Parts: sequence; C-alpha cells; structure tokens
Amino acid sequence: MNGLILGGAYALISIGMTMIFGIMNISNFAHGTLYMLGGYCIYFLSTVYGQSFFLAVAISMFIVGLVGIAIERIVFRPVYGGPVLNDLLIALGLTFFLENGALLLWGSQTKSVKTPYTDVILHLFSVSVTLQRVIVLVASLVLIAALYVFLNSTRFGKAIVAASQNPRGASLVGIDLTRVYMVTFAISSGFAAAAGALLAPIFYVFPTMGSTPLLKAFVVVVLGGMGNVQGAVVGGFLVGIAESLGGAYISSDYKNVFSFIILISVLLIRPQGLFGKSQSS
Amino acid sequence: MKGFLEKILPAFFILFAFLIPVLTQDTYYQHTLNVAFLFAISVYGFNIITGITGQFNIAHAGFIGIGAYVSALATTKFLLSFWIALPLAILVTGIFGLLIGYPSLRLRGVYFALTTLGFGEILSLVFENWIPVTGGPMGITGIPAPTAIKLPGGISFAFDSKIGFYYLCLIFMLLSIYVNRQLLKSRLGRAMLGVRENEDLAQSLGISITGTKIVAFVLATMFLGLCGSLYAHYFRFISPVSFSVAETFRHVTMLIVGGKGTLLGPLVGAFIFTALPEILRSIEDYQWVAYGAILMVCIVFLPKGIVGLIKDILERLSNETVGKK
Repeated sequence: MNGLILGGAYALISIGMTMIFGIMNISNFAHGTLYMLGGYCIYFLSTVYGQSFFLAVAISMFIVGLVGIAIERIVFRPVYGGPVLNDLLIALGLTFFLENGALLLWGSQTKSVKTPYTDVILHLFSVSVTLQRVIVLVASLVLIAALYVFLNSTRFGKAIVAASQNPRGASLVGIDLTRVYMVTFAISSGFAAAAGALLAPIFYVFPTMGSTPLLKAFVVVVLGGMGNVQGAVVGGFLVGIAESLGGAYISSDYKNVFSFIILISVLLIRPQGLFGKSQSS
Repeated sequence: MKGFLEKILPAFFILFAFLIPVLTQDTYYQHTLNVAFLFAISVYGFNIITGITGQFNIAHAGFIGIGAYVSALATTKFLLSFWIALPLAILVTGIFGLLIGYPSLRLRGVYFALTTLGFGEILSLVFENWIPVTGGPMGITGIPAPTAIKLPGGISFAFDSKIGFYYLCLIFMLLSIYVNRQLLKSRLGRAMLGVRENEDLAQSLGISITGTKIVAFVLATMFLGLCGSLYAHYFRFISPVSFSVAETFRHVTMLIVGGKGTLLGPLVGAFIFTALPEILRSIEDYQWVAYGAILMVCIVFLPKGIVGLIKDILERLSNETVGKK
C-alpha cells in the first residue's frame, strides 16, 4: 500500500521529466527543485495563510508552473541544440541557485505541513492508512488521467504528442514549437509541484527535499523509457513498490540503493527501458 | 619568439612555485596554496572526463571520497605506510571507475550523468551509514601524515609540515598538468576530443567511442583517488560532508569558470575559487547561490571559461597586428 502511494507521487514527478526529455531532449536535473518549490508553496499557503489543502495544491501547481515557464525562457532556451553537457551543467547551476536561495530565504529547519487529513485513519482491506496517503494516491491518479485526456483529445495536447514524436515534422505542419515548449515546461513543473505539495504533509519541507525524488524520477524515467509518458506512470508504481518491499524486507537504511540497483540493471540489460523503442545506433 | 616564450614561461613559473616557501614563511598562505593545489589535482581529473571527453561525472567528489577513505583506512586500521596507501587508493578508485563506467558509458547522452548522480548519492549513504568502517558522520580522525623519505647520506624529506606537504602537492599537481598536456597532444586525447565534439563522426573515423570514454574515466578516477589520498593525509581528518554531490558542484564550477578542456583552465579555476572565498569571507552565506549563478552565466556567455576568453583575445590581437602590416 505504501508502495502504491509513493508510486503515485513518483509517477507525477517522472511524467514531467520524461515529457521534457521527449520533447526538448533535455534531462532536467533541476526538476527536484520544482518539487521543493511545491512543498514551500503548500507550506505558506495552507499552514501560514490557512487556505484549504486542495485549493492550496492547485495554487501551488499554478505558481510553480509559472516558475517553470520563466526557467524555460531564461535558463534553458540558450542551451537548446547545444551539447548534452551544457544542459546538465546549467540545470545543476540552477539547482544550486534555487536550493541555496530557499535556504537563505526560508532557513534550514524543516517545516511541517498540517492538514485535517493526516490524523484520520482508514481501514481498507485489513490495512490501515491515513486519509492523507489515500488522498496522495487518488490525487495523483486524477492528475495523470487529466493529463491523458488533455494529450489525447485536445488539439494542443495532440500538438505536444506530435512534437515529442518528431519536432521537425511538427513544426513543418504549423505547430508552434515555442508554445509547445512553454506549455510542456509549465505542465512538467506543475506536476512536480503537485507531488511536492501532496507529499509535504507526510514528509517535511526543507531546501534539499528535492534531491531524493529527483534520483527516483530518473530511475523511473530510465525504467519506463526516456520520453515515454505511459512508461513513466508504470515505472513510477514499479519503483515505489520495489522500494517499499525492499525497505520492509531487506534494509530501510539503504532504501535508495534499491532504486540504484534497478537503474544499473536496466542500463545493462535493457537501456531503452521497459517500453522504449530500441536505439537505432 | 612564441616557441621560446612557451618554453621559458612554464619553467619560470615552476621555479617560482618551488621558491614560494622560501619567499614567504606565512603558514596561512602556504595552507591556502596547498588547498588550491589539491583542488587543482581534482579539477585536472575532472578535466579529463568532462572537459576533454565531454561526459559529466556527478560522483566526482564521491570518487575523491573513495580515495580518501581507502587511504585513511589503510593507514589507520591496517597500519600501512602512506607510500603504500597512496597507490592503493589510486588503484581502488580506478577499479570503481571501471565498474561504474562500464555499464553507463556504453550508452550515449545522459545515462552516464544519471548513473554517476545515483552512485554519488549511494557513496554518501555508505560513508554516513557504514559506521564500523567509515565512522559514519563523525568520520575518521588521527590519519597520520605521510612518512618521511630517507635518502642515503642522511638527507630526509619530511611531510608533516605545511612546507613539506606543499612540495608533495606541487609535484603531484605538476604531474597532473603533465598528463593533461601529453593527453591533449596524443592520439588518445584527440580521440577524446572527437568523442566530445561529435560521436558519429568520431566513430566513422574508427575511434572506439566506448573504449575511449572508459579509458578517460578510469584515468580521471585514478587522479581523484590520488587527490583523495593526499586530502586525507593533509587534513588528517575526513568526514562524509567533504565528498557529497554538493562538493562536486564546487569542483565543476572551478572547471567551467577556469575553462573546460584547456590545459591551464583547471589551475586557474582552482586558484580563483580557493582565493575568492578567503577574500570574501563576509558573504560566505551567499557563496552557493553565487556559485549557481556564476555557473549558469558562464555556460551561456563564457563557454570556454577564463582561459578560453584570454586565448580568444590574444588571437584577435595578433590577427589585428598582422592585418595592419
């Protein structure tokens, strides 16, 4: 059950990363900081300003979505089409800038977010979980479903899918790639923020909270095939479950090691991921 | 004239570097220089895999940690001499480089960076949690200084002072510059540059992409092992904080600002970022934010770093004088 809940959140974070990779061919190492910003947004909105939890999650997504658009414009646009090394370096620079900016502005002490749902315990199929955890799972599934509908049934969603399949072809048939990039970054950042906001009441909010989810997201994205949205969803749940089983039966100190073992084995055996097409090279 | 300058200037600088301890007795300056040299060795290692070959090793600081812990454990737990621990640290770090490089360097793109990011985090976890061996967050204390070398005739070189260590670091730093220089001149180094610039083209010329990358990575990690071992025996104390992914960030900023893929860039970067925090003590709190901003600005506006910029300016100047004639 814990695996499923973590899996839902991992899927949310990974979808954004895999979309950016699929469309812009950029692996966003700064993705974890957007998750962190989501956490701080929910802290200020719901704990400090007393907004209701769901409204606060929605506003967090919106704010961080705008931040994502700004990041795409200012930071990533200069490195499009350059060597992979430059996107990695610039994203790493951005991560340090934002993480330490958060540290300076909001301090290093962890902040906890209280919601009315953290104390309610539900009994489902002989397992007891808090309502908050169920909300995380349900909200992730709703967001994923909404994205699925958006990508498959709206005109702009289809344009995004087209751009991810073949950017040049898409721009030839009149799709505005600049707008596609902007919206993709906004969605991706919003989803990362949603994950951060939803998990904030369960974990804590602190400046470097994004680094572990970032690693997990990479494992998920590689497992699902880079650029593959369905792969990211399935991969998210697989990694979440594998981790909670490994943590429960083997050792919880080294929980992160299990994801790393998954990463190395995927790279060795099936580098294109579970659902990816094989590399043409 | 140019050939003469190219020969005489380095010789002059090396002579000057050897004379510094005679010129100033101030231990603070000596310490700062030692730290700068240690950083320079590390950044030269970084230059081989990231600057010349174009593959980003995020576990950079973690590999330095492997070298440091191997060397520290060998001398404190197994009571080996520093002169055995040092090559052992280089060897073990190189083996880890091979183990990590082999699965991840076969693939193009970001997979290597991803794997090293994961490996770097794992190393931090191991350094912090494997308490019986690594001492956990408390680290390892009481690491001995390198034992003195005794030559026949009663001459001995001791390394327990800052001056002694200065020469040790200087020699290893000159070695790392030499290796980078020979590499840039050699066929292997050109193959590495080829891999960085265009993998398809390099492959069409018969260069083994995977092989070249793996050789570069193992060579780079061996320098990190060297750096780690020297670090451990200079500070006599190591803890996991010094080998975290955040620390990699400091080293990569040195590399990029100095000039990646250039011969002198790592040295320039290491000196700037060792001296700057010392001068700007008052804004210490902002240093990481500043590093992040500097790195982003450098990637966009100064991709070849300070050394690359100076080179471009010099070339333009010499072209202009030629044009006037």
